[in-house]
Amino acid sequence: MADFLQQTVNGLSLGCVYALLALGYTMVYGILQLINFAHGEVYMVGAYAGILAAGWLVATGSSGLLLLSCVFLFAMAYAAVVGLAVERIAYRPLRDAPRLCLLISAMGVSFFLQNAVMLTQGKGDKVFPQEAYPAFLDGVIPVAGATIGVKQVLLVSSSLLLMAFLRVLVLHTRTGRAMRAVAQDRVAAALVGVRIDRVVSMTFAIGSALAGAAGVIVSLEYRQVGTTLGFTAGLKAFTAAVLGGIGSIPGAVLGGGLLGLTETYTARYGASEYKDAVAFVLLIAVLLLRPTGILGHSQAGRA
Amino acid sequence: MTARNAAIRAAGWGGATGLLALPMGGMAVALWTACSAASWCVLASVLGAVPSPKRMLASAVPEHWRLTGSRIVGSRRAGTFAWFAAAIGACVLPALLGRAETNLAADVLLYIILALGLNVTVGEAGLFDLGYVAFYAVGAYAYAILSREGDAIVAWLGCASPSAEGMLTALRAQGIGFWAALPVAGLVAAAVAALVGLPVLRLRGDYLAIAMLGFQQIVQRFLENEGALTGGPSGIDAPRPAFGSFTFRTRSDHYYLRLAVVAILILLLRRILSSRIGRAWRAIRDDELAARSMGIDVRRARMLAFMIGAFCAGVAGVLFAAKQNRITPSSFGWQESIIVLSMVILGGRRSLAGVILGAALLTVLPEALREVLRGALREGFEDYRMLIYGALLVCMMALRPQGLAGRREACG
Repeated sequence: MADFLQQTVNGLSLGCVYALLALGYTMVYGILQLINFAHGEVYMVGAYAGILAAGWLVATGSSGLLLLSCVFLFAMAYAAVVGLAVERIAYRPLRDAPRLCLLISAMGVSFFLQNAVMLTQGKGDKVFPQEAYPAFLDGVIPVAGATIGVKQVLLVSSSLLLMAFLRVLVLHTRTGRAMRAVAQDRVAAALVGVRIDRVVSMTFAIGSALAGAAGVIVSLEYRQVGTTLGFTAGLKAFTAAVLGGIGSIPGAVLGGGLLGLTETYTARYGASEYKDAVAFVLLIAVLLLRPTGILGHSQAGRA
Repeated sequence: MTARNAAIRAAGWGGATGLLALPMGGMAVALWTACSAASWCVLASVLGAVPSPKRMLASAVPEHWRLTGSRIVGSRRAGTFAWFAAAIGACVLPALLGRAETNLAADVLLYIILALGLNVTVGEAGLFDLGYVAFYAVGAYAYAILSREGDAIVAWLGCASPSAEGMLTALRAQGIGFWAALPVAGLVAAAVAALVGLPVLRLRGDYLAIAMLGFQQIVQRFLENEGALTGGPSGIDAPRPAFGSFTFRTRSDHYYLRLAVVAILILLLRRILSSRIGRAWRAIRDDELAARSMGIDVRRARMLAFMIGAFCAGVAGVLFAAKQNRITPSSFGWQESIIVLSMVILGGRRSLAGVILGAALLTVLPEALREVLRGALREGFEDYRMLIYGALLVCMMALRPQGLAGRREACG
């Protein structure tokens, strides 16, 4: 039982990463009906940016929670800029082109970012600087026989904070209303004066910032990241988005959590070598049985 | 008009490849690129993407001088001539090239097979198959496993069902050999495609792409983890093909082997595309509802396209394994699917000549870049190569989304 609880906590913290990434997919999909295949790479770039920022900040002598917040902010800002650039360069010229062209373009961006990071940061894994890693993160809170790390609590709560922030943004601000309008009907939104390009840029910036935060979380969790981090995680996060219902923000969070749990349970109680494959079996099953996902609407359909 | 533009562009691109290729192997490659650019144009004219030389000539000749009014007969004759020219050009190629270039030419042929197959799935039937490389892997592994002494298969199947052992005693003695494996592995890949396609083909567009990407990941995990059958991450040996006492060893041996397969494949595909099923694909593409109401079985037509694509990938897998001697799961990563897909898109979907052009260009280009960059940089040129490749894909889509030889209306 204690073990099960432990696995559940691990699964949920993994799920948070997927949920943050899935939000990026789902928002972009809601607005442009586009699967942003380069999203996983933005996440990877965010992780690298966070590690670099941590290195610089340690050099300036800061530490602890202040340093962590700065790392988060820097990585999110950096990822947002990268996301904006990707949208501007690779997607905007193709907005009315066939989907296949966008797909290829996204794959090109993916190749580009992966190799650009590899060239500038080296081929090997990048380690989160030990000096920048606050010691209190390793503390544990014993709960009913399981140990919940302070780190996990912090990561899960910061993810939830970001998701709450996103919810407020989408439901209660002018920008959020514009985003929802564009998602409902792009042409009609343009007719009533919503600036489509700005809304799309905004969406990419927000989604990418969340991916950047997810990148920092992962680099704190595993203490090191590689350039190939993005692809599999991106694919799994997309699975999470589909699972919850693509286009639906609560769905992405739900899907992320479910996927994280499924994967952790499979690794612990099932075949650990097929841990990665489970997500994709789940993806195919969901697409076939309930393509709109758990919380999705029917118009999100099968495209 | 657009067709003529396409011809001019095709020639231009051929020339551009030539320029890129210049530093890499000196005159031989430049000559080869020039030859192949010429043969692509000829091939393009055969396949009807651009006006045939004869037809261009005919339009320059006054009306009353012409002997026949039938354009079809004219272009068919020109087509036969062009076929011979292309075939002869391809046959003498290895004599003009060095070892490395022959190797590259053999790779071009392999990618042509893959791209032709994917063109059926993506171009003709409009199915975004991003897990295409899984069928390539299935073909390669089917060859390696079927060629191995049957013990391993029996042992592996034995875990699943002991009764299978009896059936496979014949296989115990020796594998089925290359020539039988070539179609069999293709059929195995097609059968896997049928199994996967049955549920997955109900999906459309991006969703199919994602599901197939997932399928590719599952296949790769399977190959890595089922060590008893597949040899695990360290891979599995595949024997060299032999014909009587002659064993295919050198690069040019493999080049000719692949060339023969490409030739057969092009003949087959041309027949298929102009047959009933080819017309059915075209009809579905133009208007699915209309096609359905005309009595076309849309599901069956899509499934067939999916399976034909997988068959080609399976055959390509056998040829890959036969030359490589040892195959590992890492050769069948998702990037390969993207590379083949970009060949199809870059060249221009639904045009065999375009696809061949795309495959040749994207195989030669990274190697050419390697040589160019090796001069410019001391190290890390390998990474710049993929960086530039990615940037090129983005530019290509922004500037000419319908592909080099594709027509604008064909961009659907």
